[in-house]
Amino acid sequence: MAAMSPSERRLQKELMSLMREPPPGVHVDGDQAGQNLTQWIIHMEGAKGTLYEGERFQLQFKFSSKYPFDSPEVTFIGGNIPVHPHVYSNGHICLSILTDDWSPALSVQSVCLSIVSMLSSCKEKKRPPDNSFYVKTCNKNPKKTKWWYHDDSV
Amino acid sequence: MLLNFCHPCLRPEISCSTISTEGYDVKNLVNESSQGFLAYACIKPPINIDLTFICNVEISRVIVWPSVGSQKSSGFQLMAKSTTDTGAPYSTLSNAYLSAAQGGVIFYRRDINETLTCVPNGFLQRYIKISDHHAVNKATNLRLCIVKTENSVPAIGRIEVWGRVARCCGRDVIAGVNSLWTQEHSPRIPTIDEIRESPTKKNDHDSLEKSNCAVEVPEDFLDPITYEVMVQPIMLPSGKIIDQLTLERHEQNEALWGRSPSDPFTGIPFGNTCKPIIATSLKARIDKFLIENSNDDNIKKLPRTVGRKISQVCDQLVGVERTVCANSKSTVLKVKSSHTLKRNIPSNLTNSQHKLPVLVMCTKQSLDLTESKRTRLSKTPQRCTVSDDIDIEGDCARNISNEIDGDLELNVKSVLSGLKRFNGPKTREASGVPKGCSCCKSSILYKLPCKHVICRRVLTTVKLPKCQHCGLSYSTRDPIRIHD
Repeated sequence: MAAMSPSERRLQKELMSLMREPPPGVHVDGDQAGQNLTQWIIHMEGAKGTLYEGERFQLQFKFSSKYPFDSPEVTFIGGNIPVHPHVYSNGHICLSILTDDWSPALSVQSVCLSIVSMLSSCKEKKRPPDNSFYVKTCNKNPKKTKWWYHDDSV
Repeated sequence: MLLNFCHPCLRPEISCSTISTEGYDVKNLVNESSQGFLAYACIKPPINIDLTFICNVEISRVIVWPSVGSQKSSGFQLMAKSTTDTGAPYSTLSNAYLSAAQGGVIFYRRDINETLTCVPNGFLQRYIKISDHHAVNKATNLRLCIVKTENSVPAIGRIEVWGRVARCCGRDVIAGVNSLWTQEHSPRIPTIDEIRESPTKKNDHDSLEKSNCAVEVPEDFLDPITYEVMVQPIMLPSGKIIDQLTLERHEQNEALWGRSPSDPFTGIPFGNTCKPIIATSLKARIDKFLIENSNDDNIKKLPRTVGRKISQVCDQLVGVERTVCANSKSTVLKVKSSHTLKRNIPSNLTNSQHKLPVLVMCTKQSLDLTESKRTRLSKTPQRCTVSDDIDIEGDCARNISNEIDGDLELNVKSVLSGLKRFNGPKTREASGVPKGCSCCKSSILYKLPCKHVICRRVLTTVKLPKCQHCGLSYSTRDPIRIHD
């Protein structure tokens, strides 16, 4: 086995455990992630009994070489981006653990669970109030955005 | 591990198609008796001896000792079946006909490449046919048929059926049978042979399949964040143990957000009552593991604590004796350091230095050094804290101490300059150290390990990395820029 960088080593471990014991409604594209450990696609189903039941989403995770000390870049991709007050129409997610509140003790699995629970707790399907302005002006990388977390309830 | 399914501990059942001589019952073959089996005197072959095993057995080899006293059977047929159903037919595994010289027969499988270490001398060797693999791989019943004798009564001295629990059996069966066997055989003699062989075997393994048999690192030696073997495990207030380096990196990142160091698992900032501590026992276990497996290539590459830079995190650790001061030699160094500094280094350092608690505990092996040291100290005109009890004076002691002093002073200076103190006052450089460079006042200033300050111009032009004030040499990465 070729020498692995620390981030690859950790990603490999996470990929293995995510493929072995995925959380409900979450499924990782193992082949794609296995080829390029720094970019994963994760398929996600809306939880039962929520506004997103029956919908399918794709999440893209990009990891820097500083992972897990640096947070992953997480966006929704593909045709179906959930309509949610914290998800912009370009796929960017306003979630504090993805930037400020990231901790190396968090993992891909815990991020997925957070996003599932964020979707599940939604009461009304709508875009964020500043959606059109943000989408026009934002950087491609959501981590470059200076988020202003205005809603602590979700 | 091969088991002998005829051993009484595995409770085989045995029966015979005919009556036996008194005292030589067929049951002797499966209990501790060494009498063996003799058929009744007038009985002629064939005679079937049927064994029923505790479970399905993957037969590996069958060894038959055919003699009881001078009675000896000479022709055998080995049969087996995979069901206990009495009506089911046996399938033949092998035949053997012994000559007068041959003392027994061993039936073994050709496809299992096990070395026949325990073949007694002069035994006939016969393959077991695998035409009916059910009968061989999950036999429940084994029939040894005596088909021929040499003008004697049909006899069997002993029989051993070696094999494994068949793969079709459940795990509970396998575990149960194995435990039955090991209970009986834990102190058995072959283990001694195995022990004797094991080092050589291990070496073979090492050289042959280094890549495959990598030493398994126990899970709790791995950092839960980086999944690497921990160098300096540290227990967090949350109870998790992570590597010191991981914690340092986490704190650097936290600092980027302007936050104080915190537990990465809970996010609770460290305070006076909740601080990370060094997980000493785990550290000891990791070290032991690393030393024991130091022959393994993968283990060799793992980082160790020796030579590790003392980090900022350690400043916050409570109740920690630095390993640097752990052995007796460094104790001496410490004793010495406080005195040397008092004597030789002028005002600026002495001020703070003499507030440090002086360690005067010395182990036996270091006593000679300290004694000579003390001797010398008592001769020096300056005031000394330990000039009371010992009064050995003489040229000899002086010479030794002079030599030692020369060496130690250098060492002490370099050690002291790099060492962070945990019990000393923080305001070490507050007083006395010149704030500016001697040549210019406005330039960019750098601080040397000896706490003297030089300007950038001098630093870049100087040929020999040595402090101009005290003459202490430093390496190129030592100077630290001073920001006002």
